[in-house]
Amino acid sequence: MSQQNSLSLRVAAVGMDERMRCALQLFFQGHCNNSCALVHEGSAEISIIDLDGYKSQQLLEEHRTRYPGRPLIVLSLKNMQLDGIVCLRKPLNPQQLLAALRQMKGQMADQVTRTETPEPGSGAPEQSVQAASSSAVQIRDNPPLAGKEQRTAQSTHVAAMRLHERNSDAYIGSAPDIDPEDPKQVADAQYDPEDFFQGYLKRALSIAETENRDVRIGNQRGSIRIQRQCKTISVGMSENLMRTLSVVPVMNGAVSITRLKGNEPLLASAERHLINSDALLWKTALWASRGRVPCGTSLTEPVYLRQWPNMTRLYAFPHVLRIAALLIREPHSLMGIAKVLSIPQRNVFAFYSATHAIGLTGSAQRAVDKLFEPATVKKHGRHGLLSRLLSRLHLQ
Amino acid sequence: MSNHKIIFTGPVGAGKTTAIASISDIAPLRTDEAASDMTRNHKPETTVALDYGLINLTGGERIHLYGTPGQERFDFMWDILTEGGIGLVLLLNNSRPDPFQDMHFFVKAFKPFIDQTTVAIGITRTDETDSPTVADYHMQLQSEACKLPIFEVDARRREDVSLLVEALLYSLDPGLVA
Repeated sequence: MSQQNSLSLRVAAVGMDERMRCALQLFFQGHCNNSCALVHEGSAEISIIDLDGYKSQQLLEEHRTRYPGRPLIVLSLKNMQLDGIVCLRKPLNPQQLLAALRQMKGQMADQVTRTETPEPGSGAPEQSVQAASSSAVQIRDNPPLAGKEQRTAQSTHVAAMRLHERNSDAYIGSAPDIDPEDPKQVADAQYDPEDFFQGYLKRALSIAETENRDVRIGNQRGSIRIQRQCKTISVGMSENLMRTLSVVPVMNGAVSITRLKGNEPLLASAERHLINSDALLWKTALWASRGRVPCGTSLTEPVYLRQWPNMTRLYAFPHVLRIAALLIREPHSLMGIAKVLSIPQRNVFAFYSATHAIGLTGSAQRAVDKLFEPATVKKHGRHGLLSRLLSRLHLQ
Repeated sequence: MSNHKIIFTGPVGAGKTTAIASISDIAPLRTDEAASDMTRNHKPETTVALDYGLINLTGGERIHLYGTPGQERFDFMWDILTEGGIGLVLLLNNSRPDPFQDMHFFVKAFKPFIDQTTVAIGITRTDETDSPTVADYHMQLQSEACKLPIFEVDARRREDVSLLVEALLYSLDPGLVA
């Protein structure tokens, strides 16, 4: 834990232009002996946000939503007081900024100390569970990322997020279970991906691959650039805009697909983040489907899962691992999965829509798949113990 | 020794020690030493005995987390370690010269244990080398009878390691409820 005494921090500069970022970089080199590194916000431990920029308040809110619990420093020309946030007035006094960074580092180190020194004989204390926050573990185990590591952290971790029951509605909706015998209810549980941003994205990816060229998709408020033969997409649009475009059918002209000549520059790094194409397809499919299935999907015929989705890099909504674990064993109908696992149908439908979007699921065509009812799930010999372990991992 | 344990295995530098630290309730016991053989080309210190971590459950039960030594010359310990284990977490270093060979080696070496339980595979260091991809690993395992969970994992991220272990548990019993 020697790091506790040194000021080793990964810092994101949010809402700042290149000159401000350069000034911060120089500050880190001079006053912090290079022990602080300016990194992309996805891999940062703390963020510094300039509140005097365009739409900076909105930027702050979005940032707090995206990285809840991350220590923040805000900079402003005005005197500011915000709950739980260190506010520094511009022009900045280097000593004040240094003190603020040290204060945050100290708080994070305290968390680590609490995590690593539980009371003797305290079993599984709730306190240590709480203390094991993401930032605490990063300090303990993450050396500052640099170079290529830093760049790739953007493309992988940004997409991954754990959704719990309380925050999964935006992705899987809240529709009640349906009666598969009722044609109207079945129709209501279907959507056409082609009508949604998901379909446009899929088409753009297909163009990039088949025509071997860069493609841009979006509108005047933001866009996504797909690089040919590359699984990574450069996103230059806010999460809010992408969600807005994704949740309702695309109106005429609201989204355009543009073939690029290949020499057009990428967006500035401050304006974009990188994301894996499967992760983006998965997310947009969840937003579009909201607990429905692509039109034409049978709810009662068996479907297969070709392979496990790469769940650490995708939005993991409730029951997603259970559904995958069941379906990977043998084909099941979507209604059957919900029944066997005693979970809401919308979670199963969302799973199918997302995995179908990235090409992992489909209708089981083999006669043998329809011949027998799927085997019942046999309880593991240590079912109770494993359930308790799961609960413990969820709590962490 | 209680039989409730999960085994972490994989080649040198795959992140076993770090992964255990990510989800352990205690500061893991480590047995790193300066590498004196070919291992030193990969990392200056390596695990020469085993790593140990712990997860406390309600009711006083404990799940022991064991990391095997990365070097094959310690493989005599593997049978002893796995006896009575819940399952296997195999971590593979994507930046190694031939990670597929590593995967086949460990899947074969632990086959009796995997047949009795199951395995979840975490691919580490994908930020250093993005090839092979997760899909490539799945292709390599097509000949295996079962389809295994294979995730990209940053062993330093608790969320990644936790998801991998959860996938292992659900593979054993999809009916589990947290």
